[in-house]
Amino acid sequence: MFVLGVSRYRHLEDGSEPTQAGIDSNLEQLTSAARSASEFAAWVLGEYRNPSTSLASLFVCLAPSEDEAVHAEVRARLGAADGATRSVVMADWLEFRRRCRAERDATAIVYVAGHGVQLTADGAIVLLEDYAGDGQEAALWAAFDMKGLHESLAGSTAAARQFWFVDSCRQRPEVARQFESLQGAFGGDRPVGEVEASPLFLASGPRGIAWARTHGVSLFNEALLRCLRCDAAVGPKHAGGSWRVTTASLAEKLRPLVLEASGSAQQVVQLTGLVGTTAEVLHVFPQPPTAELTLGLSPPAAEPEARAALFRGNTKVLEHDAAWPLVRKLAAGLYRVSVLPRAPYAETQEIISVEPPASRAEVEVAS
Amino acid sequence: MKGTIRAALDISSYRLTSLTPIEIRDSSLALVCEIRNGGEAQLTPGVYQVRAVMDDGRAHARLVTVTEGKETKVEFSKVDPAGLMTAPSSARFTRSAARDRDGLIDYGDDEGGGRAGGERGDEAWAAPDSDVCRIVALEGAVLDGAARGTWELVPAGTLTEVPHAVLDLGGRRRRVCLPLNPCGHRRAETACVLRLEHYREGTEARAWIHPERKVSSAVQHMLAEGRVFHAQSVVAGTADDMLQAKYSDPVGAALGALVMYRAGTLRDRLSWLENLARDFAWLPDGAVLLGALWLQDEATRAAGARLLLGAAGRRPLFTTSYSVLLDTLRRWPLDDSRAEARAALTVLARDAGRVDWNAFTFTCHEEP
Repeated sequence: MFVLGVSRYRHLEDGSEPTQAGIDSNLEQLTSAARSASEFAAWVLGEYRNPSTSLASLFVCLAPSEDEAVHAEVRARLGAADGATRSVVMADWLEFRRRCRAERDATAIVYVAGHGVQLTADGAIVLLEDYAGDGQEAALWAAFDMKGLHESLAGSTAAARQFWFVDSCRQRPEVARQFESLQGAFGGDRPVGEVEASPLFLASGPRGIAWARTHGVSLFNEALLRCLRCDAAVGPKHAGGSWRVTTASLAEKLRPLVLEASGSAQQVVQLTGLVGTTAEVLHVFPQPPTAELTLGLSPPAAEPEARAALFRGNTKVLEHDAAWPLVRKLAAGLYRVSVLPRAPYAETQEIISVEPPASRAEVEVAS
Repeated sequence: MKGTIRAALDISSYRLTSLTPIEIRDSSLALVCEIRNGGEAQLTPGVYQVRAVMDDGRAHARLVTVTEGKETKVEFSKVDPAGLMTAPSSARFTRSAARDRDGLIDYGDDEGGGRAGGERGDEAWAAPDSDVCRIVALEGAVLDGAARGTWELVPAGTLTEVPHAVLDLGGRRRRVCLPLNPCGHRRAETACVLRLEHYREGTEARAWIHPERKVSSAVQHMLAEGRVFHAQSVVAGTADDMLQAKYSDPVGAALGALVMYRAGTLRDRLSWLENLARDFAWLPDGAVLLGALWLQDEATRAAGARLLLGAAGRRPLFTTSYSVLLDTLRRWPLDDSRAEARAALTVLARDAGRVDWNAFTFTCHEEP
């Protein structure tokens, strides 16, 4: 896995070594890209689970801005290895790429956050820490061409399954135009052949802006981690199997979550790359996820003294004799609910489905 | 002893119905089996969830109890909201139907129906009380019906480019490419729907394949709802009809090609893609996808380059095709035509800052 987060840009106007090119770019230091990347790395270290492809390596490059709080465990593991200049990132990337190109059975996961420019719906440029330094041979010498990198991990020997997440802050059109030709951005060569699936999730549409919480993480990162922890969980493929997060469930859940969180900013996640023909599994849950059930009673007049019991199979898992609605966290699955209201309302049984992240149901009792 | 679940789908297309999987999940929501329309499953008594993604791209589910020796019938209809699992992808918008009170566009056929395309005065196709949206020009299309916030359009004349509408949305101009099918026989086989959709930041016009073009319309809706694999499975199941029959619906074929391009399976259909690119010059999407594929292969690279450079002067129908074209020109691999590619990119990229990347068909903001 490869994780890159760049918030600190030393050559911008507000950086430690400003240059004219950096000043002309009209960009500022970021406050959440490195933290967001560190949160993703922390999830990989602490929660990622996939029995068919366990974690073999994790490359992390972070350049946090001043006062940016990166995840403590990731910070501790990185130690003095701080920075995301082109030379630092390239060294890690080339080693990551070498491993990916040699391991067909591996799953490659790439998460990149930083200042960026997205010129089409298919790719983005992500600027590295030393972007706009003096004496660089091209304007984008210290930048990654994500589509180029994505294509460089194609090929008939490369990791067959890949997941790409690019969380770059898009720029205004006048800034974006400077990068139209992509000159100098590192991408890499494209090997012959294809992988099976390599979906690329872009945090927002071209020329759009990817938003972040003040002193927090980006909305894309927040939504992605919600998906990986619960929201995009889908039921097992067979009895006795495990809940999973797949390409399909991410494609369905990530976009609306970011859209909802961004409010009037309308940040629209884009899915591109090679989606493949089957929904590949990114993450496997050790046990069924829990979901919050909100169970109401209709009509409201039936609520006083109404009692309920929830059954999983023949096992009673919950009794309720308090106020309505019933709100409880439960393991995902189907439940039989039995409601015993006061006369004149009749006892009623229904089936309800509890699915992540939350489910609402209403039991209607007849008089 | 077991009980039975029998499931049926209310989808008017036989092909779609036969292709739509109906999932049955047990009490732990594990997949027990998949059946097709009219099919049955023998199951151990207990509670089950039965679900299917309908042709509107939305997932529907029913919860049922299977009883020993008995048959439980489950029917899915997209007009029945009871079993709907998800809100319309529109946490982002409420579709125009929910905004009837606005009366955004409210004019009958007599106000615009059947008129030929071309630049018109703003009064021509606007509702008298509308200050939100007017069609100000149509190219390659004529209006064939209208309701609140919705227009139906059909092709007009011989197409030389992708048909499009120019709209005035509260003073903002939009050029919206229209997924019309000039090769259809019946009206509904040719038509598309232009619909006002209400987003938090404002109203936009979106073009949809007419629902009577059932397979293509279902694929478009599935993609809009993020159900890429459902769309793929429909395209894969109807490829022989949808793709090979390009002479009866080239737009449907181009849409199928896009889905296969993303799935990585389009190389298996190169011959019909070549026909699509060759025989429908007005629809450059086929040439864009074929050129992008040819460019990856040393033996066909020069031909791919010619195809792409030829397509670069025309606007494709689908936003994705435009994106693929732009991206390919930026990463041009041939030294001998790099200058041409750069020139084409410069022209094409002029639109890029004004493209509505969230629209399915190429939609561009234009200066009034």
